Amino acid sequence: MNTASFPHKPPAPGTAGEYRFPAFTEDRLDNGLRVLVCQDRRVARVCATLLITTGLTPDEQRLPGLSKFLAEMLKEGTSTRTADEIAEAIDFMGAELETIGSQDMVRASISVLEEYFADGLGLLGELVLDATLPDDELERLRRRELAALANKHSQPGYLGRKACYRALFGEHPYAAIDATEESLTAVSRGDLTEFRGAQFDPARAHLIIVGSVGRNEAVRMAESVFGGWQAPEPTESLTAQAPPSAGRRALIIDFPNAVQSNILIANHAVPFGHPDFIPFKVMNQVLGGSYASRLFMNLREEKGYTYGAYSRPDARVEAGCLVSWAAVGKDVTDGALTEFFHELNRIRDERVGDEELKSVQSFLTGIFPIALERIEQIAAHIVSLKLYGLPRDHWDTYRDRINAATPEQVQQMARQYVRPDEALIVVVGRADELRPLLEPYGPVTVLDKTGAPVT
Amino acid sequence: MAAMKEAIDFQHHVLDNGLRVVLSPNTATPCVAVAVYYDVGSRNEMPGRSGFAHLFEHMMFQGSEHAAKTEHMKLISNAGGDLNGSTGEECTNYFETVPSHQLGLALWLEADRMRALNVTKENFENQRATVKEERRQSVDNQPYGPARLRIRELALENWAFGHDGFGSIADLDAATVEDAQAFYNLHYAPNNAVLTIAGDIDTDDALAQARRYFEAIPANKPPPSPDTTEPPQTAEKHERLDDRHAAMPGFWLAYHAPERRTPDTYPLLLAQRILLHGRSSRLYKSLIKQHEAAIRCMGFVEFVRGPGLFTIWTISKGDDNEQCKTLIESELRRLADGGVSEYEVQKAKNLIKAQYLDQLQTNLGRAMVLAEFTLYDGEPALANTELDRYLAVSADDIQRVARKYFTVQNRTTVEAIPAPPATQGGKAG
Repeated sequence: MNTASFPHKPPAPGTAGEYRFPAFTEDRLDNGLRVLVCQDRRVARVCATLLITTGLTPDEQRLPGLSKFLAEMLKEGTSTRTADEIAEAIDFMGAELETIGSQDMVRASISVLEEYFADGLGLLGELVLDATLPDDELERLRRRELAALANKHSQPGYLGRKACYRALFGEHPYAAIDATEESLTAVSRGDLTEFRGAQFDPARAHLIIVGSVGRNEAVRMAESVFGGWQAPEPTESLTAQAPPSAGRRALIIDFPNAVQSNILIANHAVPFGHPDFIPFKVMNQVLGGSYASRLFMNLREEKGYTYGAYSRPDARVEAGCLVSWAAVGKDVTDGALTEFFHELNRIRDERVGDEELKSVQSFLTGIFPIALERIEQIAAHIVSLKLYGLPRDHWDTYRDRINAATPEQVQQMARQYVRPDEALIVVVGRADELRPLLEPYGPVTVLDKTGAPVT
Repeated sequence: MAAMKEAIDFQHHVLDNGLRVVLSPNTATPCVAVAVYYDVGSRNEMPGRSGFAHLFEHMMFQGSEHAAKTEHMKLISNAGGDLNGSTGEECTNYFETVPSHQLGLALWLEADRMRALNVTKENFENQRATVKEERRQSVDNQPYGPARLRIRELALENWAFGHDGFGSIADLDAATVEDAQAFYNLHYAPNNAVLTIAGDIDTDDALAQARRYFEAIPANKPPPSPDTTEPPQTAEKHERLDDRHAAMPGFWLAYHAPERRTPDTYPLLLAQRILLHGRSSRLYKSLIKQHEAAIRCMGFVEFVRGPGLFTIWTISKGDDNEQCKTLIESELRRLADGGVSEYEVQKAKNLIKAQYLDQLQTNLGRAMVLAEFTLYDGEPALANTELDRYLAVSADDIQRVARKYFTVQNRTTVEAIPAPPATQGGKAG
C-alpha cells in the first residue's frame, strides 16, 4: 500500500468485548462490620479500605476539618507503635497508606504487595482501633497544618474553591473545603477522642478488600483484626440544608500579582444518590465533562482563552453542586465570562442534538472499564456504593442508565440545575481590574486571601 | 527472572520504514492502549525557540489530512476512549486508551497525523495562546513556579537539557507557523518513533493493522543528535529570586546526575528513595518531623540520555532557608560518611518493586514502560529485567554514589524569596 491509498475514513469498529463490573461478596461480622471482597488475580497486590460513614455531625460543623485532622492523627501513634515506627512499617512494605476524613466519612486505605497483606491489614486495624492520639504529635500536626494552610493561601486555585464553597453552602458543613486557622487552633485531643468514640462504629463501617486474596481468607483475617471492635453509644447526627440560592452574585478574591483570572461559576445541584444524578451527569458531559465537551471546545479550541475549561458535578452524600471553571488570561477575562454564560444558557435553551448525545453516552460507557483497570479504582467504586447508599447493582446497570438518557431529559436536567441567572461567580485575580467586568453580572463583593471583605 | 512473578508478554517488530512496533497482549479488560513515542523533546529545540516541542505537541491535536481540527479528540471520545500527550526533555508521546474493538480508529488517527499533519496559521495562533495560558497556570501564577524553571537553567551549562520545556513567553511569541512545519518534517517520521499497542489484542491482527496504516509512511533522514555534553561543575552555584506569589521562603537544590542506565543510576535512585520517599525517609524525618523546619520537602532524580539532575524542593517554615539548607546538607553528608543500613536498602528495594508493579497494572502503564525502553535503549525486554538491576544494589554502592554526587561543588541552589506585591504594570508576568 502506498501513502496515496491511505484510507480516507476511519475503520469501522469491530465487535465490542464483554465487560462486567467485577463480582464481589459481602459478609457481616458479629459486630456488624460488613466485609466486601473482590478477588482479582491479575496482580499480586491487595488494596484494603476501611470506610466509616459518619453522616453530617455537629462536631464537624463546629470544627471544620475535624474528621480530616483525626484521619491524619490515626498515623501518629498506637499503644504499640510510635508515629515513626508506623511510618517505617508502611514504607518498608512499599505500601501506600491513605487516611482521609470529610464531612461524610472517615476512610483508611492501604495498598500492598500480596506478601505483605496480613501485615498491611493488621496495621490498618491498629490505626483505626488503637490510635493513641498523643499530645506531642497532635501539637506537631497542628503546627504543620497551620503552616500548610498559610502556604495554600498563595495558590489561586485553592483560594477560588474555598471562597466558592463557603458562599454556596453558607452554614452547611459542606461550606468548608478544609480546616480553618480557627479550627486548627482550637481542636483538642478531647474533640478527637469524643468524635472517634461516637463515630467509629463497626455497624456503620465497611471493609473493602480488592486484589489477589480470596473471600474466605479475607473474611477470616478481617475477623481476626476487627472482630473485637465494639459499638459505641448512639449519638445525635446533624440535619442541615444547603441555603437557597441567593441570586446571581460575584465574589472577587484579590490576588494582586495575578497573571491570570481563575473563574468558577457554581450552582447547587444533586447529591450522588439522587435519581437525577445519571442524566445530570450525561448533561454535564455535554457541557464540560472533558476535552471533547462544549466548554473546552469553545474557550480553548475556538478562542484560545485558557489551557482548559471544564464543568464538574461535585455530588456528595447530602447535597451537591455544579462548578464550571477555567484559568484564563487576565486580558480575556471578559470574553471568557461571556462564553461561559453563552454555554450555560445554550444547554438550557437548545435541545441537545442526537449525535452529540450519543457521543457523550459512548464516552461515558466506553471509559467505564478503562477506569477500572487498577484494584484501587475497583475499590473506590465499591466504596462509593456504601458511602452513597446505592443499590448493590448500581455499577452493573450504570451503562444502561447512561444510554437511556434522552435529549429531553438532558435539557430538563440543564433547566433544573444549570441556572446562570442564579449562579455564584468567583474570580481570583486583580480586584481593581475585575470589578468593572463583574458589575454587569450582579452585586460584587471583594475579599482578601483570608476571605475577609475588602472595602 | 527474579523480581517479577509474571513477565510482560510482548513482541518487537521493525517495519520497513523503520517504525518500531511493540505488541503486548493482556485480556484482563476489553481495552487497549496505543502509545506513539517520538524521539524529540525540548532537548531538540533551537536557542530562541524554547518551548517549541511542547507547542508542537499541541499542533498534533489540530487536525491532519483526514481528521479535521478537534476531530481527533472527538473521534476518540465518541469511541469511548481517552487520550493525551506530553512533552519531555527527550521524547514527545501521544496515547489513547480505547475499547479494544476501536483499536483501528486509534491507529488510523495516529498514522494520519504521522503522515500528513495539517499545520495552519489559524490553529497555530490558537495553540500558541493556549500554551501561554498553560505556562501561566502552571508556572507564572503559582508560588515557586519560576524558581522551578530557573534551577535547571542555572545547574546545567548544556542548553539542550538546561532550558525548561515550557519555554519563555518571548520565545513562544517569536515562533512561526513555518517553524512548526519544519519541525514536523524533521522529527515526525516513522524511523524516529516507537508504536506500542498493549491490551486486549490478537497480536497478528494488531501487527497487520499497524502495517496497514503505518508502513507506507516514508522514512526520513534521521534528525541531528542534540549536544549532550556537560562540563563537570567546578564550583557551587547559587541564585535568589523574588517570588511575588510565595507566602514563605523556599528553594530548589540540584546536583548533576549520571546518564540513563549507567552503573551509578541504580544506587542513586535508591538513595533518592531513602532520602525522600515517605514519612520514614531521612529528609522528612529531619526537616519536617524532628526540626519542623520545612512544610514540604520533595525530591526527584531524572536519568536521561544526557546530563540529568537530582533535585530537592523545600518550602521553609522560618523567615529564611538557612536552617533547611543546613539540615539537608547534614543529611546528605551523613549518607556519604555513614552509609546506609541493610534494612534501609531493603526498604528502598521493596518500594521500587511495589511502585513498578503498580505501574504495570494498566494497559497504558505497560505501553509506556515498553515504549520508553524501546525508544531510549532499543530493548523492550528491559521491562522484564531492569528491576533486577535495582534489586542488586548494595549498601556500599549507595554510599559510593552519595560521596560522588552530593558534593558542594556539584551543587546549585535557587532560592525563592517572598516579595511584596508589584505595583500595577510591574514585573510580574
